[in-house]
Amino acid sequence: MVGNIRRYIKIWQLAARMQALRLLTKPTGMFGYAAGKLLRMAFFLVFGLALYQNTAEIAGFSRGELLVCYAFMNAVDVFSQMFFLRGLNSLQRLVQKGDFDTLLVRPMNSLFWVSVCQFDWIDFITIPGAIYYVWYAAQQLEFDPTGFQILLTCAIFLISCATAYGVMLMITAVTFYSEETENLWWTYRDFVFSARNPAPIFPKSVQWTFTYLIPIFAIISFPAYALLGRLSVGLVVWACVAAVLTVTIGLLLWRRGVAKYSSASS
Amino acid sequence: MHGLKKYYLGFRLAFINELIHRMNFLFGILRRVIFSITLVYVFEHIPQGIGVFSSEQLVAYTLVSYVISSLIHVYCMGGISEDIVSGDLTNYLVKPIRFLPYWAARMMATRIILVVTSIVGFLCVWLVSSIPLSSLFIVAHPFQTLVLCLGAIVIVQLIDFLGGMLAFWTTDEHGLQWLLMTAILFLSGALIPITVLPQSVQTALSFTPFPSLVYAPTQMYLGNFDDAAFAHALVIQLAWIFACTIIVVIAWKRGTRSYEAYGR
Repeated sequence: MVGNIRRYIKIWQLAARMQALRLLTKPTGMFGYAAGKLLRMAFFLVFGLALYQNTAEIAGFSRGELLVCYAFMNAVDVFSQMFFLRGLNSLQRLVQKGDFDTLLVRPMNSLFWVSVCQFDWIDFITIPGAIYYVWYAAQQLEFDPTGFQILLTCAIFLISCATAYGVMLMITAVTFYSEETENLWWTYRDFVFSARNPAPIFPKSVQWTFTYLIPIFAIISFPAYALLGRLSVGLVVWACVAAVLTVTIGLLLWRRGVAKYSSASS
Repeated sequence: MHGLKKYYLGFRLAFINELIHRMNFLFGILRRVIFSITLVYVFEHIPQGIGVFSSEQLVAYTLVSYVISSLIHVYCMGGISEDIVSGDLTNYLVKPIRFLPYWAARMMATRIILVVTSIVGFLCVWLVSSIPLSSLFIVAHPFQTLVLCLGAIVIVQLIDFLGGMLAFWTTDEHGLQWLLMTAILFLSGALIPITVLPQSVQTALSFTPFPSLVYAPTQMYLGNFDDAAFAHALVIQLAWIFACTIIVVIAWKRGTRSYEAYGR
């Protein structure tokens, strides 16, 4: 067991190093992606500030609270993209070309490779920006979060990343049933970007759907709510349940998808 | 007229191609609606408005910019660069067909599909808003709006060509193309009127073609631009069309001169 874990850590390290080397051979592309991500980050900061030109509160959220929501959405997005998104998203290409065969014949878990072995160094570069964003937003709050709130935020943040992984795994599994899932990915991304806004701006039905049915708010808003002291015990429990449920369903769909997979190349 | 048939065929092929993967197509419609609906919810929770814009004006802006954006956020730079990098450009160079106009014809098919589907999306976004539909169909300056929309399409198509032609000089073009598309999305006024952004950002944007793409046509449609503002926007668009055309022509000439396709 320990030997297996060591082997997989070594595989991850090798894959991450390969990704870094590949990226270093394409400095212009790296600059373009990093600059684009920073531009997006800056735009939403300016956008959030612009919303409060004539008002002090939107749906009960002050400027500082809204910025915390925006900053945590960004942080969850950067972390989940850095570890999982690139690899999971690339399955589409592997299946279309039949290259997924080359993963299946390797002496390792294909899900492990698809999930984490395409570490996104460009998002890694933007981490200082994401941390600064969270720090800046926290500075705008009219109160100082307690130690417990900060600890809870860290825990919920990790749980949110697990839920994000579960949802992304489900989308990935769809690739085995429909080759073209590009817009499905973008739909998920657009839901994520929309969920940065405080849930109370949406009607109750939308809030319920995106908290319990498709737990986008659990992924994006819960860490921010934990810091703001707006997360009830019930929602903390739901965050844990959602993580377990989404990962379990994701794994089941993955297994069924792999069983259904037939190579395009042979 | 006969010479145009090949471009029409490209247009038709692109049209069919767009509709092949139906699930992907439907999600394409859905994803374009999500963000606009969210913006409507946000703006309706700000009764005081933002800057000089009232809440209703912001919602109307979101609805109109949603439709105009569907004409603008259409890109072929990825396809152009793929043709250049893979060497498929050679197939076009030896045929009596002009590569860039052929791609423009294909993009026109995508634009038409997006505009038609945006009507469905527009109705979905309107349904969540509380503004009367009739107020959105009173176009103060229809001709001027049409002119600015056409100008915006020409500018974005030229920028798109330039993004694609980066592949003549680097195989590392995807990042820059993504940066270009991100800049157009966030800085064109597709999500929020540019005049509510800080003055320094507005000043910086005035030196770019971005405000001409969505902000100007949307403001014209909503009647927020008078004749002087229209003339100003038109002059800026013409200047960018002129500048971008020259750059595209030079880039194409130099690019095809340096283009090499091994094994062909």
